[in-house]
Amino acid sequence: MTAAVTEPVARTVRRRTALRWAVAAEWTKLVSLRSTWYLLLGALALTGLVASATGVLTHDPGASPGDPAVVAELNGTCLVLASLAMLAVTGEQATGGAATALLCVPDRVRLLTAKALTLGAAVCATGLACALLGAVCGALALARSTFDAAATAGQLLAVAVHAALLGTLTLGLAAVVRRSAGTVTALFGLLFLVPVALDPVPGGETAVDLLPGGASEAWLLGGNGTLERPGGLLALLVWALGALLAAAVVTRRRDA
Amino acid sequence: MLTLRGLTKRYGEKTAVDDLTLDVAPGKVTGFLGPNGAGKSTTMRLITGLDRPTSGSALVQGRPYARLDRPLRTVGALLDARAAHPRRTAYRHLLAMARSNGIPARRVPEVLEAVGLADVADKRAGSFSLGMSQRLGIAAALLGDPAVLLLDEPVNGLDPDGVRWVRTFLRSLADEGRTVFLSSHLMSELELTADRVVVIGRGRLLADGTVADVVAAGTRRTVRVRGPEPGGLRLLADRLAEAGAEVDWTGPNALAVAGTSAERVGDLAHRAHVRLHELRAEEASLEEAYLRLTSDSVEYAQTGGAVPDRAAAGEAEVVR
Repeated sequence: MTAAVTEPVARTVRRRTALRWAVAAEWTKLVSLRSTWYLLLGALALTGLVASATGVLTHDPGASPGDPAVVAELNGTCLVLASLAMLAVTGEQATGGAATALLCVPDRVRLLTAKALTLGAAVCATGLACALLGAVCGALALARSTFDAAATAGQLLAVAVHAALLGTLTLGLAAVVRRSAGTVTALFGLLFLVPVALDPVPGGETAVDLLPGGASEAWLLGGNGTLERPGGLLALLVWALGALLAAAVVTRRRDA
Repeated sequence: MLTLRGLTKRYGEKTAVDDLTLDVAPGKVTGFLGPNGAGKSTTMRLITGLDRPTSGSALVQGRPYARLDRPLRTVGALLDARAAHPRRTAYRHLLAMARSNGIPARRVPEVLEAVGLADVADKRAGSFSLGMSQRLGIAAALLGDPAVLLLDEPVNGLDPDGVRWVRTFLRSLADEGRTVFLSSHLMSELELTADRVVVIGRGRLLADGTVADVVAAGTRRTVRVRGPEPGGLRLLADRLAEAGAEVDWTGPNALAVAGTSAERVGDLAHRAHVRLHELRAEEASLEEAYLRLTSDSVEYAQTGGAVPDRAAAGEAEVVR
């Protein structure tokens, strides 16, 4: 009887431990590549540049110092951080590392979960750091602005959450596509090409608003024609989880 | 302990592994032999769950690899020498692997020391030669102190010193009671290392037994006969054929006789008063047995479908 009760518990504990180990391994892999640090520097540099330029070009006394940070996130930073998430998958696929990762963690869903947790957290933290830098640059560059601590903090957190969700979406895409070039193409298609193609179609505008690009604007800028801010967050969540689910289904079926 | 039952893998039309049933026992070095494209690597990938079998099963210590909680503690696998990200250092590569299975970090310098890579631990894996990459792969396989070792062509690219090291090392691992399963196309290597040899060709099991068994099964012991009188040899050939032996003329004055012993050929020649200049029982080698076994399997395949360039592969191996 005791065995019957404790066995599922023991299994759950084992699974959690195994996931923790898998996350530790992903973290070790992430920080032991120079490309990671180059991308982080790149993300910070790009944010500083775009936020400063935005600050200089904005002449709105009601502007928040967080605004340039948001503009930077939407116009480049998110893509640099997404490529960090992508490389965690495609960098392994391009070398012998993918087989090694599966030898260590043969449960494909566990491996994918570990990658999503690690990269999601790393990109979220980096996104927050970028947002902070962007706000500082923005505050320095804006001739006149209105600083509200709560509103600005909210904007910075929104940037961090956005970076994490777009990174997760990219990670899922990368796990399905497996190649950097293909993943970049798919991501650009989803963000920039599909909206252009859908625009002239009847009802296309609503569809465009629901795509990751439209949802990002809703979440970060406070709504588009279809979605309010919470709706934007929800749509981004659905996209990110949907990409992970697709990746889970595909990688479970596919030979490594 | 490895248990393969009816293991089959098809890629579209091509059958890479065909109904392979096999037990690989602990405490022994088991060699896995076959020409290029015979299905050795695919079998290794099926055992470690990298590829899914079309049918059949592969169990490690009675469980599928994917169900092992800490697979590195049960199975150490060297499947591809270039298994590390080229821009990661050897130390970090192994550290990430160790962390993934809850293996203490102090194990990493231990295995690097064991394979002789301690001095280059902080060099990137991409800067390693093939031989160093093989050593790194062996270090990775040893990380979890596993009961089962799967090694796909581990001596590829190693210098003679490294080959000797791997040989004694695998021997000692098997003597500790571990299951050692290594593939190779170097017959001489397996002849020295393996207690047991499994030969596959075109995905099918061709032979399975001790090196001596496989040699005996794969080669017909041939007796070479040479004499100065073609007439006498013709007479001897007739007598041998009557006695049930197979006789081939290998030259105007030379015979190759199968299915009998040198003693019997000598007795018959004596009785028929045939002068002989040479009477020699040929020593069969694993290489001969292997070439014979695999050429048969390819002849079988030729009637069925695509034919790999096995003649070229065979030559390459002989040249080695």
